Amino acid sequence: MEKKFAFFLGCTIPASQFHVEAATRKAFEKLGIELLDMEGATCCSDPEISRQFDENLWLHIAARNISIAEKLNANIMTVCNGCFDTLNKVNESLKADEKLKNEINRDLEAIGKEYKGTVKVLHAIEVLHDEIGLDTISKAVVKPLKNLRVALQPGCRLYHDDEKKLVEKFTALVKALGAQIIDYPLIRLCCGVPALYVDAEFSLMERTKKKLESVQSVNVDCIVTFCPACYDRLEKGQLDLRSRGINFSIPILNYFELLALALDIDPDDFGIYLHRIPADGVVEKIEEETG
Amino acid sequence: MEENRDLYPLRKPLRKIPETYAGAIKALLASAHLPQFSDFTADEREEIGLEPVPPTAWKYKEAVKELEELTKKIGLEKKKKLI
Repeated sequence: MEKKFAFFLGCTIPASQFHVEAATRKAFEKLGIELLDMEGATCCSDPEISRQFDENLWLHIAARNISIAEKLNANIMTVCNGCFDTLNKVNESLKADEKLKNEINRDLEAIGKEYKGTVKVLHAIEVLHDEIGLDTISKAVVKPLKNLRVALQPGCRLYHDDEKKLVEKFTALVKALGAQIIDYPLIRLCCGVPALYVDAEFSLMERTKKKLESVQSVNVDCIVTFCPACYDRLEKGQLDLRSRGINFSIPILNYFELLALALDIDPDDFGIYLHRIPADGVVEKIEEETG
Repeated sequence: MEENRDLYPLRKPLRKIPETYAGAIKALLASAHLPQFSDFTADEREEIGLEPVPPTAWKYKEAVKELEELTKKIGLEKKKKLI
């Protein structure tokens, strides 16, 4: 294998969206990319709650996680928008601030770790788009998703850094699988996760529900995202709304699941049955197209 | 960090941990992860060919001790009482 990346799992994916972890590992194996385990990695730590609790702790935890990848001599790849936000920001801050880096390293020394600033933190979008390439992905597709109408959910954090062009790259990656991207009015509306910690009712009715209504208005087969928080909110939100008699049935898929399906990886092998809003219709539509 | 002021101009220093945050911070400090990890999850992971326990702090418990050591080094003992 030519390329290898330190796979930063985060919290949500290995604990509650492990079908995404399985799809990622199997798809990368098929593409000939090696994923190295970051043994003993912790929460990134999360860019909202723990950062708000104590920014210094947030910096230390992220530096410790990055130091694990440095030992592996590999750039970090993360699927999660939140983990990317934390690890990338801390990495860039410490690389630019020698004094801060030294302060953090004085504490890391006590646990036998050191942050050197020798690796990059990459979103899975950058790995797929820039390191593997659209051409390689398109050529590896066995089952083009031509029949599939998908709505994108980039998630707020992908818009933070205009220079990285993560939203454009995400769009290109979905197109590389052959799927039809259907625009919808409220693509920039937040899924509702941050508001959940302040006002659960507002989060559900003014964010999640409005987002789902907007997607439903354009009649798609699924929503595709990279962000595990958006995934969780848009899926659980549909179940919460059903209990109030408001019915949506829009499967939420991580990009790696779509990629795995396009690479002809058996959906049961990566656990597509674990979706709380079943994705059977998505699988059937792909099978109809390709026979 | 400088970008903080640009991105979140209205953010104020935290005086008390909001109740909705407390559970997540407690979980982070106790297990180095935010969600719980159950035996049921381990079984389900194994069924789709994954390592039952992910190779993170859930598997390598010394990571939790390292995090405890870091919180002491940073001097968070007093702040932890706010939770």
